[in-house]
Amino acid sequence: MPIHDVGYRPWSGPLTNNLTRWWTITEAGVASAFKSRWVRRAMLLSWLPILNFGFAVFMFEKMMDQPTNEILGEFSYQSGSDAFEEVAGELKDEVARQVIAQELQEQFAFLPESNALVDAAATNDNRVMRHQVWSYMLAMFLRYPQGVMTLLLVGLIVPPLISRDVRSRAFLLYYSRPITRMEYLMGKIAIPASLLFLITLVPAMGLYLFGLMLSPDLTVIFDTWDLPFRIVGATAVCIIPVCLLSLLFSSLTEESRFAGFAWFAVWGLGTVVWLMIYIPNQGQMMANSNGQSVADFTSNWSLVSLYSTIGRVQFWLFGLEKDFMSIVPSLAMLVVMSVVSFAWLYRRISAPVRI
Amino acid sequence: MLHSIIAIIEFELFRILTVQRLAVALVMSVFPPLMITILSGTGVLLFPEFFICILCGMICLLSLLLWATPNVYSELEGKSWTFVTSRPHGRLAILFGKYLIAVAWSFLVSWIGMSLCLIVIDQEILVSNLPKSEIWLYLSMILLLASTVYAAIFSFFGVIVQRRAMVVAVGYFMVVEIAAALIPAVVGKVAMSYHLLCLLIQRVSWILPDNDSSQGLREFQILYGIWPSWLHLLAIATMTVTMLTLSAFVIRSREYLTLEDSQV
Amino acid sequence: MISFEHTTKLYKTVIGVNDVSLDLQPGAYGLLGPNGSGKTTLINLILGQIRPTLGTVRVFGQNPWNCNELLNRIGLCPAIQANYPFISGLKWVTFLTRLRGFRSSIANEMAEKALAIVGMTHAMNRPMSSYSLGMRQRTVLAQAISHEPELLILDEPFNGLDPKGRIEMTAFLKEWVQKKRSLILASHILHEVEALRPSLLLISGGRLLASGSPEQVRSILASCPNSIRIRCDNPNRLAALATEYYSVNKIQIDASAGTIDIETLNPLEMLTGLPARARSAGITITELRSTEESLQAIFSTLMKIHRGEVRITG
Repeated sequence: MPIHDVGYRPWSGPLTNNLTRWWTITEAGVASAFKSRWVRRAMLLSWLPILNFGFAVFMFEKMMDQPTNEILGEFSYQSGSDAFEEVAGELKDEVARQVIAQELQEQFAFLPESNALVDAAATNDNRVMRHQVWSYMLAMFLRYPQGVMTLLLVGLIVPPLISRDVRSRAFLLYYSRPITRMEYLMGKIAIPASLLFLITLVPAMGLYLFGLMLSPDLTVIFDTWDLPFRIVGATAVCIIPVCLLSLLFSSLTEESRFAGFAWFAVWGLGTVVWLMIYIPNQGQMMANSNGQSVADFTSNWSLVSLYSTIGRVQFWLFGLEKDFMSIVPSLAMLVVMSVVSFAWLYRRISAPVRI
Repeated sequence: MLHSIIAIIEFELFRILTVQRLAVALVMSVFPPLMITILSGTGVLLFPEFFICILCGMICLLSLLLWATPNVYSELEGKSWTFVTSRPHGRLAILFGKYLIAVAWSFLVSWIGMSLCLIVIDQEILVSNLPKSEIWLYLSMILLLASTVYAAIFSFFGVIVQRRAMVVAVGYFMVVEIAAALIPAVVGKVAMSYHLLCLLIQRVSWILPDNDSSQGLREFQILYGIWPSWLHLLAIATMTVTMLTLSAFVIRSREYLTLEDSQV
Repeated sequence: MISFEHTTKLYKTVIGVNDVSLDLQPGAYGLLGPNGSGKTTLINLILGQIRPTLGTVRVFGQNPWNCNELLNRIGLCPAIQANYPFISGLKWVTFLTRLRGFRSSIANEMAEKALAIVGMTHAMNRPMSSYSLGMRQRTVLAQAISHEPELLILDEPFNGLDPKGRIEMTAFLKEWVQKKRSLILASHILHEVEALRPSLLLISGGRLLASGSPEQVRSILASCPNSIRIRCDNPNRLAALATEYYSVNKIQIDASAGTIDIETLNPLEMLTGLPARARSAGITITELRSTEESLQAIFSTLMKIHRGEVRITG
């Protein structure tokens, strides 16, 4: 009978790939975050706005396909003709498109950029209009409900992610394993990134699919096939700088409250300054002869707000902002912020092993 | 207990007076006057008083996020909770000591910011006809009231949800103090921002973004209704006392467990 | 001084303390138990930091929950270390003494005195971030004794101390006990506690398994199935005697070392009878002891008794 050695034996089985080792940190972090009831609630809450926006898409498609009496009445009033035959089925009339756009704008009047819907009606093509309206819905979805959820979720989970390791000297535990600083950083960045994917990218894709399901037929895909790609771009534009900046704050302190405070301060102060410039000048931009220069000025000042900077780039990605040059400063700002945050973050987490 | 509260205040003050924390306070104080200086020559600053008021109010709230909401969690995280609460009246001393520090610190930071703003701004670009000194007086009063009442509300969040208090406070502010305050109904009057705004309007009608202040005041009166000043002050005082009483009750009756650093 | 009556503490579905009943008079007590056995929960119940889910707790005749008068009679040295990087040890101990109601100048004097007792005078004005683990532990002890409490509670006070620090801590605690002050020392290391000759409270899984003097606890253990090591000049002959007269489960002879290890179900009978039989047979025994002296072994034995798996004999 062979005698087996049951004493200590070194592990001789396969090890996980170096390239994916950082995922262990992410998995543990995400699992830990999901233990919190607050995070689970936030996740649930972040899916609710789909219903609202999905309903709007449904209404739009319905109006395009089968105009309601109210719209027909409005159309008759504006065009001075008996509308039914002309607008039922396929919309060919510009006035009908405008009526539909106005109807949608009324529904979403609480959103500041709802005039984009009226602009959408200025196109002569129903397919273009559909694309514009869907893009608008998705951009608004990411900018408002998901933007607020991003602010809160990052404030909820990121502040202690690195500050706790700084306080408890946990770096040495990580670095005593075959994990490089870059892998540690990747693992940590991927924690908020994964959670933000779940409240931005996934629900936005869900909204797109929801819209498809509520459309009269699947030919809508031909008009909107590019939107999933735009969603990926728009969420990446939000997630990358947000994760890097918030983790940088976390790495700068041993007390998570300071990291949380810095996050809310950057977000809050910038947004307040931007709104305080933007809102009172809205009227002036339209009315005054020097409106354009004021508009330029206020758009440059949007850089003080991380929120509006991200929003402008997202608008461009969804095709709602046509002029690429106008968003170059915002894009540059996000790139610079991400690069500086990453470099600084890397330096901070290298401190324990730096001689 | 008074003795313990004073000890907490002195100790916290000593902790605040470090280079890093003073630098944070300095940056926050200097931010509003810096913005005013940059913007005042551009012509986009249509309502400078409103801008100063909102920006300094924001500074006040952010200071409170830092000093009032983590009243319990910072002790649990720093593992000092057991040391302090194994002393007589330790729990209440933490609550009231930190509350007073939060009020004093947030008021001081925002008040310096506001004072600097009024120093750097030209009287000509102000919409109000009131002299700067009077505007300074009213804004000081509003900031003090805001610090007092919001510190009490945020302290309450710190006592009930500890770890998530900062996020809850931000959520509360967005939902109640901004969104609900705009609703011209009873729910709007629950928001302290409504009462603070009314007090400002009664003293300095320029707060509305309308050059015809009397018309703006009338419109506001019709839409929201303005109570007598004493009633607004009573509402603010009631909220402060209620929040502090509830906080005291909760902190005395709840078991707080020291945190374990077990999470990755 | 302290009484627990059928006290149970649950943390949601986790049990911290399970139906503990005891009555402690003033004196020195060693609260012994493995990690996670419920020692800190018991201490928190005494301090009124938590409330029992079931049963009652009385400390100096009062319910400790929110009892401010009681807290000034107790000094706590918890198992955690405070982290105030920019604060000096003196400032911190003074602050915590002031929280007991003492005026600033008096609290400062008391803190200085306490820091001197624990040998921290030389470093008391330095920021705590510059302290070693042992220095922090001594500072934590200083804050517990600065107001000269009637009852001192220490939770794992030897953690992080070097051998010199352990000796000094033991010496301090011995002096404390000699002054007829009460002490509860929680630890999971038996010999650290034994040096103070306290009454022992053995706790495991939230249950109080045994209590009494070290001698009483040992006598209980001696009555339990145990493993005995005997060193003698003729191990083969002694092994034969043991198997002839007593119930033996297992026996192992190491002739070169002159030792035999006997596992028996009736150790008390063997320990009292075998030396006499050995002497009659002309065997000289030079050492006789239980081999299972580690705390974990004691607890595993006590748990077996607790579950009724083994019976105490004698």
